[in-house]
Amino acid sequence: MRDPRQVFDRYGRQLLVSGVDFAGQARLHAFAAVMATDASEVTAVAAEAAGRYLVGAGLGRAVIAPAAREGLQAIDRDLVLLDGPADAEPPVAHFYFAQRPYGASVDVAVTDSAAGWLAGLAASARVATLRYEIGVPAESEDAVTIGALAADLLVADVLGVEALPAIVVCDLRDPEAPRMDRQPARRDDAARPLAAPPPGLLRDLKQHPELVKIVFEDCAAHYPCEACGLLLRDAAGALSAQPTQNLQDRYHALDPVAYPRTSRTAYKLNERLIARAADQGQTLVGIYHSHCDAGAYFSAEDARCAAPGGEALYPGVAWLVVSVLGGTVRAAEMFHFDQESGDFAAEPHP
Amino acid sequence: MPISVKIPTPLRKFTANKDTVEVQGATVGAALRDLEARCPGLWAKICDDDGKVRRFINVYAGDDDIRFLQGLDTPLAEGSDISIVPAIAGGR
Repeated sequence: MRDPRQVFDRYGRQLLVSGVDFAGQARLHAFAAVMATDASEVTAVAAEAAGRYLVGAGLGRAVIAPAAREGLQAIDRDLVLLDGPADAEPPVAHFYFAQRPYGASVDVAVTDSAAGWLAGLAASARVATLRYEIGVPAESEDAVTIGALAADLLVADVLGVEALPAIVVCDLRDPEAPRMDRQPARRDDAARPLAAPPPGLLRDLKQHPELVKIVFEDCAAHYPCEACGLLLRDAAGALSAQPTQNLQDRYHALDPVAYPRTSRTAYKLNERLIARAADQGQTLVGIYHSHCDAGAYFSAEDARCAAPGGEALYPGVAWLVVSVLGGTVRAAEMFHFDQESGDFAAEPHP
Repeated sequence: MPISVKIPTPLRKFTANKDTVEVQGATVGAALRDLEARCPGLWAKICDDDGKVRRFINVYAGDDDIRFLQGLDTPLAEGSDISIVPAIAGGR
């Protein structure tokens, strides 16, 4: 097995730069990280569905068991390979990927247990042949693809095996090189290990640019602090966006031990506003908040607060995360709690 | 002194699905202990082993988070109501 640091040196920076050049925003997060609950599951991933898993990772549909989440938080690295608990239900492969602003240094960490796990995979995986050439895609959606590809490349190279069938074949070093088509199976939602949530609040929100404007302007105005607010629906089904005050600094000042973060990296809103909205016939359907100089991912902190112990505190409510880089809104993703997996999944963009 | 305690959806499995429970108590802590006596299991969901309100739960006396009052020692006036509200928080 190769040292992942060497692999990163070989591919990582190249792919990261590719994402910046093409998307101009922090959509590329995937630089590997594979965890699994047992070797047979990993074999299945490698033999059948690595591409789908990795696309899922690129889309932010990583599934991380609570125990593994704690381990990830304990390691202050961008790229972590860990194995998950043996009794995880449902048994899934786990990914964790770098989520830092561009330009930040990236490091790689591999735990001892994960190293053993990867070695086992290398011995058992049967893979198809493939040639990867990374290019400059034309559509923003391809940032996700490249992120997935980055993870795929890294995993394959760490294992010392050839990579699985590609999603995209193009040439990073030659932007003019022709692109080849994706393989449709990779985009097959029905085959993904973590079911994509059905179109919902994101679709509805996109039909109301005036509401998107309210949310984005609120997020930009609060930079470099996180903004937060409510997405409400009235009895007639009309959607509205209500910016709220981020109370995080007030709680931090009261108890910096219990609330170590400030509004720069966290939010807390006044939950009593939900009851007041209900008194006016409005139902909470979504909660938005911004990430400053970070991507529109559902962070470990977001998940820990929204579903401590894997139990959603607000069942049925969606979570809109807005990425604000340098004061400008760059991306937004809507996340839904997946009851089956006990984790959060991004709603596909309509 | 009857106190009305509002129960959030995720905790109604402890209250036979009732959204409000009437309890007695001169302080928030006393009211929550009486709530535990009536609906066993709720206290541990609201407070940790040290007797502090869990980070992901807010206990409001009226419109105020009791963390900014006197915590569980916050006195309750006649006709007060308590709301147990799951926190909405997170961060990058």
